[in-house]
Amino acid sequence: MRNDYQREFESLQHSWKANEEESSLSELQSRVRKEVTSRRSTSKPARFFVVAFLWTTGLLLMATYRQYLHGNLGFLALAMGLLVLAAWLGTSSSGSAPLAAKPQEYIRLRAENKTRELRRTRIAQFIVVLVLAILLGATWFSRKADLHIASWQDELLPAGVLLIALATSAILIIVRGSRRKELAYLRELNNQFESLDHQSLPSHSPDLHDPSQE
Amino acid sequence: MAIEPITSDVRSETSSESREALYERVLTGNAPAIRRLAASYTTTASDRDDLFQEIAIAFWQALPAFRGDSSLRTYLFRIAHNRSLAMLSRKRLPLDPVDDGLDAPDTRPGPEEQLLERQKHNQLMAMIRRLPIPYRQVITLAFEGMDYAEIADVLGIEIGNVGARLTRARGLLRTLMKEKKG
Repeated sequence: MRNDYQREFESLQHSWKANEEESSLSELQSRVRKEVTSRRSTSKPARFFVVAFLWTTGLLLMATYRQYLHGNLGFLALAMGLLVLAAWLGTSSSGSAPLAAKPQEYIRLRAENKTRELRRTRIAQFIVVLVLAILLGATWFSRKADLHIASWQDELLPAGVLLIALATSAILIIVRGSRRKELAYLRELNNQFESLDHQSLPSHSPDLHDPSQE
Repeated sequence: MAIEPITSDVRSETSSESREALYERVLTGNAPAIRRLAASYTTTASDRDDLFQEIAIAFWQALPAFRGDSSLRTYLFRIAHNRSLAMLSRKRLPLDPVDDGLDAPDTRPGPEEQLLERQKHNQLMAMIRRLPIPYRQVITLAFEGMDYAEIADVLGIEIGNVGARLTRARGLLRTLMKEKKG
């Protein structure tokens, strides 16, 4: 009986190891070598560019239209600062789980990281909504009170910051959606492992085959 | 060609070896096995090769953190499984894929015997992809010739659980094979 199981295992193992494509494997390895060499210098994360872009756009807008800003420069600079902070916070990563952790532990740590990232994205979204509300409120108030709307440039800068706020909000919605889906996936994956732990598994059966016991 | 596991007691010998040489030796020796492992998590050849590349880079990056409390082979396989799980969650690939490749004929040229071997391999791979991840992990490591202790070390589970999971995995494989024949 045990020999049958052994034969079956060996046959499966043979099929598993068949289909070696040596040529494509060596090509793949040389591709990997090149990639490893090119990655020795640390790559900048995408969020660095997002935040740098926002910051530069805001500064350029303010520099271009500073003569029309009257007393609004400080206010808009603060709004831009908050938007940059939100973009940084909302897209920041909690780092990666240690790659050498046990796979089940790795999934748990990754899920924990994702939960923290999701929380930060929510806080960032709140900041953006707050900035949007203040910008819209201030625009509404200045129109109502008929304050210093001397030319089209007076409105252009707040509109530019408003656009940046809307773009940041859109980015954060996408990031949050993606993180939520990944977290749900990780939980499902974790459930697969945990459900195994709770199953009463047979500790011995005739087809257990440990090569080390031979 | 499988390399000999580098155990903690020979770590002192490897410490004089440069990171590049160590990486090259361990990865080259295990490349076919790692590519098969990557194939068990993916359904297309390009995804498999991309995953292989991710694993290789992750191994390179994790190499300085190797403390020698397991063999380097175990370390590589653990990283390979974790990197594969990360890829699964990032791409949110189905956890129980209905693999169209199960009955896909292999059309590459070759002698009839070789062709048959490839078809058997593809069918087995397709069935393995339908196993729940914990079973998939155990059976693929067993097929690579690892013993229970080594599998337990890679997956961080009790040796008894390895046997139990392997029994379940083989049972499920048998059922899938019967389904295919029936």
